[in-house]
Amino acid sequence: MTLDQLEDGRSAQVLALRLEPSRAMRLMEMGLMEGERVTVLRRAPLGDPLELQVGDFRLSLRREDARGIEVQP
Amino acid sequence: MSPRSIALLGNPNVGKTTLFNALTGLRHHTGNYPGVTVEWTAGSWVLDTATVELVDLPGTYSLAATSPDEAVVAATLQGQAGRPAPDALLVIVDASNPERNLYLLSQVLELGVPTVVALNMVDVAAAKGLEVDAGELSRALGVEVVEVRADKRRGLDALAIAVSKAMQAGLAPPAPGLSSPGDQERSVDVIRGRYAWSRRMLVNALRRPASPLRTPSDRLDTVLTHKVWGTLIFFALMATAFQSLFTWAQPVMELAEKAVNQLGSTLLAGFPASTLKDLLADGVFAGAAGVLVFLPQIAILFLFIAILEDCGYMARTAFLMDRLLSPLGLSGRSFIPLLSSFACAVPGIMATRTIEQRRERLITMLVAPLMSCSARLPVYTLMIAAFVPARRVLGIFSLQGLTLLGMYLLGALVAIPVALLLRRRLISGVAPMFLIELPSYKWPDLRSVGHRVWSQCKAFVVQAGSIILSVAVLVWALTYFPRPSVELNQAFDARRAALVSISDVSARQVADKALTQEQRGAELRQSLLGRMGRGVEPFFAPLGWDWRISMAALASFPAREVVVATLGTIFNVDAESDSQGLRVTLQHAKREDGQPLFNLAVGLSIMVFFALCAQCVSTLAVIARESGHWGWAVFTFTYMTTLAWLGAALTYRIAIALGGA
Repeated sequence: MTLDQLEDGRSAQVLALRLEPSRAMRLMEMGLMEGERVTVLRRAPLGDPLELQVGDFRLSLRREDARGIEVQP
Repeated sequence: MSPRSIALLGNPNVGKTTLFNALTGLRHHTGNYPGVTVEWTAGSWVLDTATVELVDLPGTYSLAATSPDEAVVAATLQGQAGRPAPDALLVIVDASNPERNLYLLSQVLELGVPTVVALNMVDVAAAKGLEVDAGELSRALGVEVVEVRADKRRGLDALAIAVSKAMQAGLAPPAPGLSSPGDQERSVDVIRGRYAWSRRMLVNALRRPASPLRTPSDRLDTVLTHKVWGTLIFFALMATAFQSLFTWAQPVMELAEKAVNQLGSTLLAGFPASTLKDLLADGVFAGAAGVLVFLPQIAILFLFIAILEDCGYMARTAFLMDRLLSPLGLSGRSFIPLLSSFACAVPGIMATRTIEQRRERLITMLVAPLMSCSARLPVYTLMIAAFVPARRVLGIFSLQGLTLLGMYLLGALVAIPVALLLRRRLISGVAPMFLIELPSYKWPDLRSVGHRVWSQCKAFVVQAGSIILSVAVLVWALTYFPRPSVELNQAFDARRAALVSISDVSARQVADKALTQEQRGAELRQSLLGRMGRGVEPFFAPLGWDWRISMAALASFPAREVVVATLGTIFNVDAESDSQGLRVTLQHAKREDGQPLFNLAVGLSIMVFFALCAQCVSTLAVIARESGHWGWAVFTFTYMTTLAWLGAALTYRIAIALGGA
């Protein structure tokens, strides 16, 4: 499944980043890469973007980018 | 010999600017890197042995440049940004998020420049249950690590000693050796290698709890980003900010304007009447008042922004509002700049500094002046009161109120296609990803907040102020020259002398005032600007305007609201003290063929023109400054004037066709 399908409060392991290369690299540089755990904390009131916990920090990503992140709950 | 220079760098949101202010005090100098609109700030830092120059670099996650900010950091470190390469580096590391912060450090250490680490945010780390041992980390890294509390000014002396020692020794730090020359810096393996290195460095230095702790900041976030409560709190905050910009700043603005004008007339009281005196009073002092009048709004907005940004809420406003603006090619970060522009585009455009993405920032800046600012209000109120009938629509809505609402909606609605077109046509390149860090909440550092407000006000007065002042003087000259002919003056002198025959003192004063007003009108009509008004009359004829309205529109280039005062002068009414009189005069004004000059169609065409035009030199000056190019100011003026002309001409045609004459 992809990260945008993960329910609020659930975490999962990243399997692959299927994104445009510069976007994938940027996420990896921030520590969001294959093998790491990521938690969907919540969605914004209008449903987009998502608030994520990655490592020791929180990050907000749009659904369109989350759709490119394959995860295994 | 110029002082040695030290670069301060680190991730965004790690308290870098607070540390910079704590180390260098309040005296900074700023400038722009050549060719890019990224600003550098430098200040003097007194070490025990010498005073060095500390350069504050933009916050960055990586040295592999993907954004203009990162490119600037990378270029500065290599001495390729128009400044010599730094003699030493001070890297600030956030103890509450150590792995990602060490990622940047691993790249920095490979530069071979003496480096010292400042370990900050230890309190935030403690709240999360994280403990970083500076001594252990220093042993692992092979460079000095000094624990600091930038907000409490703690650890600064130890930091100064460490930097001074590192600079004297001049030794390159042990390089992690994670990428060799020729390696693709942003390859998957290199990134993995760097994170593995970060973890190795932290093996003995970092202690974390068995399971993550729930911090007060996390609990606060649950409320502030909640679907219902978060939204309510957000709108309450925005309403307060907008209210303070729109209403509360008003008395201070009027006071500032009055004070400057008062100062001018007091200083110039002893001067004999001369062109110089008129220039100083009506050109320079009036222009200066026109600059200072913006300061209350700029100060209020930046006070608000600096507090929100420092406490971590600013990123949440982007998170909450993103969905509304993403269809326009913008993001949630544009919300506050655009909202502020409904009060005044000048602070609104300055607020686009909070948008990191250059493209998004530029689009926001270029559409911000379309939001209906408070300077348009006098134009709307005058025209609505004079020409829109006070009727009810559907029994409950007032037609006048609906017209005003329509004017406010017009700018915002026009901004949508303009933003979309700008995204597609003018500003090319792949859209950068929306990716924002949501930092932990903390109390704002009041010194940093105060410093930010002060530096913004100063930058406005120094950089935009000079342009605004020059244009004010130029427009004054156009209304002042050529001086009226001897015959005209004699005619008025003769009429003034005849007033002596009026025995009643108050009646004589009224007549005298009316005569002065008439003389000013006559002078204005024969001035260069008056002649220009006649020159451009054909251009504005499709809008239903005559030369007098055209001239008032030209005169309002320094600021839209000037059009009201100019219309007053042209029609021999003192608009400031007699708004009722101006309204009645306009209603009865005639064209040369005896037809009424104004009607509903002309009133609407004037309103639409002023809703969409860029008659505000302050806005244009701020766009030029913030975008780094005069071209963008010219572009804004051109596109808005075109839209204004087309919109007004169309409105006039439609209104005439519907019988609005």
